[in-house]
Amino acid sequence: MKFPFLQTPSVEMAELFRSEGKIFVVLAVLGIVFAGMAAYLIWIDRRLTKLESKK
Amino acid sequence: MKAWKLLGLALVGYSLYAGLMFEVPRLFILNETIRNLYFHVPMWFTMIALLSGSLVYSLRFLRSGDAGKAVDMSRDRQAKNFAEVAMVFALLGLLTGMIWAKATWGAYWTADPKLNGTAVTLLIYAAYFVLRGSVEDPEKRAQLAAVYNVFAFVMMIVFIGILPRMTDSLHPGNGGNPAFGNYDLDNGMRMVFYPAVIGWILIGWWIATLRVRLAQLQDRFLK
Repeated sequence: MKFPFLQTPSVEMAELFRSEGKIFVVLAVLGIVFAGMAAYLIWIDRRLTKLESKK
Repeated sequence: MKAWKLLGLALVGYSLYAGLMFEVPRLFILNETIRNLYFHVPMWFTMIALLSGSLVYSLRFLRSGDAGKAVDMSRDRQAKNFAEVAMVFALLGLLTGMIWAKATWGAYWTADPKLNGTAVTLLIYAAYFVLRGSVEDPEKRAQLAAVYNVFAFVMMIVFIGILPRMTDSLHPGNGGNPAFGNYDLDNGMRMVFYPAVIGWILIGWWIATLRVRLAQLQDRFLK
Protein backbone atom coordinates (compact mmCIF):
# COMPACT_ATOMS: atom_id res chain seq x y z
CA MET A 1 0.00 0.00 0.00
CA LYS A 2 1.21 3.50 -0.80
CA PHE A 3 0.74 6.58 1.28
CA PRO A 4 1.45 9.44 -1.09
CA PHE A 5 0.88 12.01 1.64
CA LEU A 6 3.67 10.43 3.67
CA GLN A 7 6.25 10.76 0.94
CA THR A 8 8.63 13.68 1.12
CA PRO A 9 7.86 16.04 -1.72
CA SER A 10 10.93 16.70 -3.84
CA VAL A 11 12.90 19.85 -3.23
CA GLU A 12 13.77 22.11 -6.12
CA MET A 13 17.52 22.01 -6.85
CA ALA A 14 19.61 23.05 -9.84
CA GLU A 15 19.53 19.59 -11.41
CA LEU A 16 19.15 20.62 -15.03
CA PHE A 17 21.81 23.28 -14.60
CA ARG A 18 24.29 20.60 -13.54
CA SER A 19 23.27 17.94 -16.04
CA GLU A 20 23.85 20.36 -18.89
CA GLY A 21 27.34 20.96 -17.59
CA LYS A 22 26.99 24.72 -17.77
CA ILE A 23 27.98 25.04 -14.13
CA PHE A 24 31.58 24.73 -15.30
CA VAL A 25 31.19 27.99 -17.13
CA VAL A 26 30.34 29.68 -13.84
CA LEU A 27 33.26 27.92 -12.19
CA ALA A 28 35.61 29.15 -14.92
CA VAL A 29 34.39 32.73 -14.50
CA LEU A 30 34.70 32.54 -10.72
CA GLY A 31 38.15 31.00 -11.11
CA ILE A 32 39.36 33.80 -13.37
CA VAL A 33 38.00 36.51 -11.06
CA PHE A 34 39.57 34.90 -8.02
CA ALA A 35 42.90 34.22 -9.73
CA GLY A 36 43.00 37.84 -10.84
CA MET A 37 42.38 39.08 -7.30
CA ALA A 38 44.98 36.67 -5.90
CA ALA A 39 47.59 37.79 -8.43
CA TYR A 40 46.81 41.44 -7.62
CA LEU A 41 47.28 40.83 -3.88
CA ILE A 42 50.59 39.08 -4.50
CA TRP A 43 51.68 41.96 -6.76
CA ILE A 44 50.90 44.57 -4.08
CA ASP A 45 52.74 42.47 -1.49
CA ARG A 46 55.88 42.26 -3.66
CA ARG A 47 55.71 45.98 -4.43
CA LEU A 48 55.59 46.83 -0.73
CA THR A 49 58.49 44.48 0.01
CA LYS A 50 60.54 46.27 -2.64
CA LEU A 51 59.72 49.70 -1.21
CA GLU A 52 60.48 48.55 2.34
CA SER A 53 64.00 47.57 1.36
CA LYS A 54 64.68 51.14 0.08
CA LYS A 55 66.53 53.52 2.34
CA MET B 1 55.79 35.36 0.05
CA LYS B 2 54.81 33.68 3.31
CA ALA B 3 53.20 30.25 3.12
CA TRP B 4 50.09 31.22 5.13
CA LYS B 5 49.11 33.73 2.47
CA LEU B 6 49.18 31.09 -0.25
CA LEU B 7 47.33 28.71 2.08
CA GLY B 8 44.56 31.32 2.42
CA LEU B 9 44.29 31.60 -1.36
CA ALA B 10 44.28 27.82 -1.77
CA LEU B 11 41.56 27.30 0.86
CA VAL B 12 39.27 29.95 -0.60
CA GLY B 13 39.95 28.66 -4.12
CA TYR B 14 38.98 25.17 -2.96
CA SER B 15 35.81 26.52 -1.35
CA LEU B 16 34.78 28.20 -4.60
CA TYR B 17 35.00 24.87 -6.41
CA ALA B 18 33.61 22.66 -3.64
CA GLY B 19 31.00 25.25 -2.71
CA LEU B 20 29.42 25.01 -6.13
CA MET B 21 30.05 21.38 -7.01
CA PHE B 22 29.62 19.32 -3.82
CA GLU B 23 26.30 17.89 -2.69
CA VAL B 24 24.30 19.93 -0.21
CA PRO B 25 21.22 19.00 1.85
CA ARG B 26 17.92 19.52 0.04
CA LEU B 27 15.88 21.89 2.15
CA PHE B 28 12.71 23.82 1.46
CA ILE B 29 12.90 27.58 1.01
CA LEU B 30 16.72 27.48 1.13
CA ASN B 31 17.19 25.31 -2.00
CA GLU B 32 20.58 26.05 -3.57
CA THR B 33 20.99 29.24 -1.55
CA ILE B 34 22.23 27.00 1.27
CA ARG B 35 25.60 27.33 -0.50
CA ASN B 36 25.73 30.94 0.62
CA LEU B 37 26.88 29.55 3.96
CA TYR B 38 30.34 29.13 2.38
CA PHE B 39 30.56 32.72 1.21
CA HIS B 40 28.39 34.90 3.45
CA VAL B 41 29.29 33.56 6.91
CA PRO B 42 33.11 33.68 6.42
CA MET B 43 32.81 37.46 5.92
CA TRP B 44 31.59 37.79 9.52
CA PHE B 45 34.17 35.36 10.90
CA THR B 46 36.85 37.40 9.16
CA MET B 47 35.45 40.64 10.58
CA ILE B 48 35.53 39.21 14.11
CA ALA B 49 39.08 37.88 13.63
CA LEU B 50 40.32 41.26 12.38
CA LEU B 51 38.53 43.17 15.14
CA SER B 52 40.11 40.80 17.68
CA GLY B 53 43.49 41.61 16.13
CA SER B 54 42.68 45.32 16.31
CA LEU B 55 41.72 44.95 19.99
CA VAL B 56 44.98 43.17 20.82
CA TYR B 57 47.01 45.89 19.06
CA SER B 58 45.10 48.57 20.98
CA LEU B 59 45.84 46.83 24.29
CA ARG B 60 49.50 46.47 23.33
CA PHE B 61 49.58 50.17 22.47
CA LEU B 62 48.18 51.06 25.89
CA ARG B 63 50.72 48.81 27.62
CA SER B 64 53.63 50.14 25.55
CA GLY B 65 53.58 53.43 27.48
CA ASP B 66 54.10 51.70 30.83
CA ALA B 67 56.79 52.86 33.28
CA GLY B 68 57.54 56.13 31.52
CA LYS B 69 58.57 54.54 28.21
CA ALA B 70 57.62 56.19 24.90
CA VAL B 71 54.37 54.81 23.45
CA ASP B 72 54.67 52.51 20.45
CA MET B 73 52.82 54.27 17.64
CA SER B 74 53.19 51.31 15.28
CA ARG B 75 50.64 49.45 17.47
CA ASP B 76 48.17 52.28 16.91
CA ARG B 77 48.72 52.01 13.17
CA GLN B 78 48.03 48.28 13.28
CA ALA B 79 44.86 48.71 15.37
CA LYS B 80 43.48 51.35 12.98
CA ASN B 81 44.13 49.45 9.76
CA PHE B 82 42.85 46.14 11.10
CA ALA B 83 39.58 47.82 12.14
CA GLU B 84 39.34 49.42 8.72
CA VAL B 85 39.68 46.17 6.79
CA ALA B 86 37.27 44.52 9.26
CA MET B 87 34.64 47.08 8.28
CA VAL B 88 35.07 46.22 4.61
CA PHE B 89 34.32 42.58 5.45
CA ALA B 90 31.36 43.65 7.62
CA LEU B 91 29.94 45.59 4.69
CA LEU B 92 30.39 42.57 2.40
CA GLY B 93 28.71 40.38 5.03
CA LEU B 94 25.81 42.79 5.29
CA LEU B 95 25.27 43.08 1.53
CA THR B 96 25.52 39.32 0.89
CA GLY B 97 23.18 38.71 3.83
CA MET B 98 20.63 41.12 2.40
CA ILE B 99 20.52 39.28 -0.92
CA TRP B 100 20.13 35.97 0.90
CA ALA B 101 17.41 37.42 3.12
CA LYS B 102 15.47 38.68 0.10
CA ALA B 103 15.49 35.18 -1.39
CA THR B 104 14.54 33.28 1.76
CA TRP B 105 12.77 35.71 4.10
CA GLY B 106 11.20 37.87 1.41
CA ALA B 107 12.79 41.17 2.38
CA TYR B 108 16.24 42.75 2.16
CA TRP B 109 15.96 44.03 5.70
CA THR B 110 13.83 43.06 8.67
CA ALA B 111 13.81 44.55 12.16
CA ASP B 112 15.58 41.42 13.35
CA PRO B 113 17.85 41.67 16.41
CA LYS B 114 20.75 40.09 14.49
CA LEU B 115 20.42 42.51 11.59
CA ASN B 116 19.94 45.59 13.73
CA GLY B 117 22.80 44.41 15.94
CA THR B 118 25.18 44.30 13.00
CA ALA B 119 23.99 47.74 11.89
CA VAL B 120 24.66 49.13 15.37
CA THR B 121 28.11 47.48 15.33
CA LEU B 122 28.97 49.23 12.07
CA LEU B 123 27.91 52.55 13.61
CA ILE B 124 29.98 51.90 16.74
CA TYR B 125 33.07 51.37 14.60
CA ALA B 126 32.16 54.35 12.38
CA ALA B 127 32.36 56.39 15.59
CA TYR B 128 35.85 54.94 16.15
CA PHE B 129 37.03 56.49 12.88
CA VAL B 130 35.19 59.75 13.56
CA LEU B 131 36.91 59.91 16.95
CA ARG B 132 40.30 59.35 15.31
CA GLY B 133 39.61 62.07 12.77
CA SER B 134 38.67 64.61 15.43
CA VAL B 135 41.92 64.57 17.43
CA GLU B 136 44.94 66.42 16.04
CA ASP B 137 47.68 65.24 18.36
CA PRO B 138 48.81 61.76 17.18
CA GLU B 139 49.63 60.41 20.65
CA LYS B 140 46.44 61.67 22.21
CA ARG B 141 44.48 60.32 19.22
CA ALA B 142 46.12 56.93 19.59
CA GLN B 143 45.38 56.80 23.30
CA LEU B 144 41.71 57.81 23.02
CA ALA B 145 41.18 55.49 20.05
CA ALA B 146 42.75 52.54 21.89
CA VAL B 147 40.48 52.99 24.90
CA TYR B 148 37.42 53.43 22.70
CA ASN B 149 38.39 50.32 20.69
CA VAL B 150 38.15 48.18 23.84
CA PHE B 151 34.64 49.52 24.42
CA ALA B 152 33.68 49.04 20.76
CA PHE B 153 34.82 45.40 20.75
CA VAL B 154 32.78 44.57 23.84
CA MET B 155 29.71 46.28 22.34
CA MET B 156 30.21 44.31 19.11
CA ILE B 157 30.13 41.03 21.06
CA VAL B 158 27.01 42.15 22.93
CA PHE B 159 25.16 43.30 19.81
CA ILE B 160 25.92 40.44 17.45
CA GLY B 161 26.79 37.61 19.83
CA ILE B 162 24.59 37.96 22.89
CA LEU B 163 21.45 40.06 22.34
CA PRO B 164 20.23 38.16 19.22
CA ARG B 165 20.46 34.90 21.18
CA MET B 166 18.25 36.21 23.98
CA THR B 167 15.19 37.01 21.85
CA ASP B 168 13.43 35.62 18.80
CA SER B 169 15.37 35.98 15.59
CA LEU B 170 14.97 34.73 12.04
CA HIS B 171 18.71 34.46 11.65
CA PRO B 172 20.20 30.95 11.98
CA GLY B 173 22.07 30.37 15.24
CA ASN B 174 19.79 32.72 17.16
CA GLY B 175 16.43 32.45 18.90
CA GLY B 176 16.56 28.64 18.77
CA ASN B 177 17.16 28.50 15.00
CA PRO B 178 19.66 25.90 13.76
CA ALA B 179 23.03 26.96 12.37
CA PHE B 180 26.32 25.17 12.80
CA GLY B 181 25.83 23.38 16.09
CA ASN B 182 26.70 19.67 16.35
CA TYR B 183 23.38 18.43 15.03
CA ASP B 184 22.60 21.20 12.57
CA LEU B 185 25.41 21.41 10.05
CA ASP B 186 25.71 18.57 7.57
CA ASN B 187 29.11 16.81 7.69
CA GLY B 188 29.68 17.29 3.96
CA MET B 189 29.12 21.01 4.37
CA ARG B 190 31.64 21.18 7.20
CA MET B 191 34.35 20.01 4.78
CA VAL B 192 33.77 23.15 2.74
CA PHE B 193 32.64 25.61 5.40
CA TYR B 194 35.60 25.38 7.80
CA PRO B 195 38.28 25.63 5.08
CA ALA B 196 36.38 28.64 3.66
CA VAL B 197 36.34 30.35 7.07
CA ILE B 198 40.06 29.75 7.67
CA GLY B 199 40.92 30.79 4.11
CA TRP B 200 38.98 34.06 4.29
CA ILE B 201 40.44 34.91 7.70
CA LEU B 202 43.95 34.42 6.29
CA ILE B 203 43.19 36.57 3.24
CA GLY B 204 41.58 39.28 5.40
CA TRP B 205 44.61 39.24 7.71
CA TRP B 206 46.87 39.50 4.68
CA ILE B 207 45.00 42.54 3.30
CA ALA B 208 45.15 44.19 6.74
CA THR B 209 48.92 43.66 6.98
CA LEU B 210 49.29 45.14 3.48
CA ARG B 211 47.45 48.26 4.66
CA VAL B 212 49.67 48.44 7.75
CA ARG B 213 52.84 48.20 5.66
CA LEU B 214 51.54 50.88 3.27
CA ALA B 215 50.79 53.22 6.20
CA GLN B 216 54.26 52.50 7.60
CA LEU B 217 55.86 53.48 4.27
CA GLN B 218 53.74 56.63 4.10
CA ASP B 219 54.90 57.65 7.57
CA ARG B 220 58.50 56.98 6.62
CA PHE B 221 58.60 58.73 3.26
CA LEU B 222 56.03 61.51 3.58
CA LYS B 223 57.35 63.01 6.82
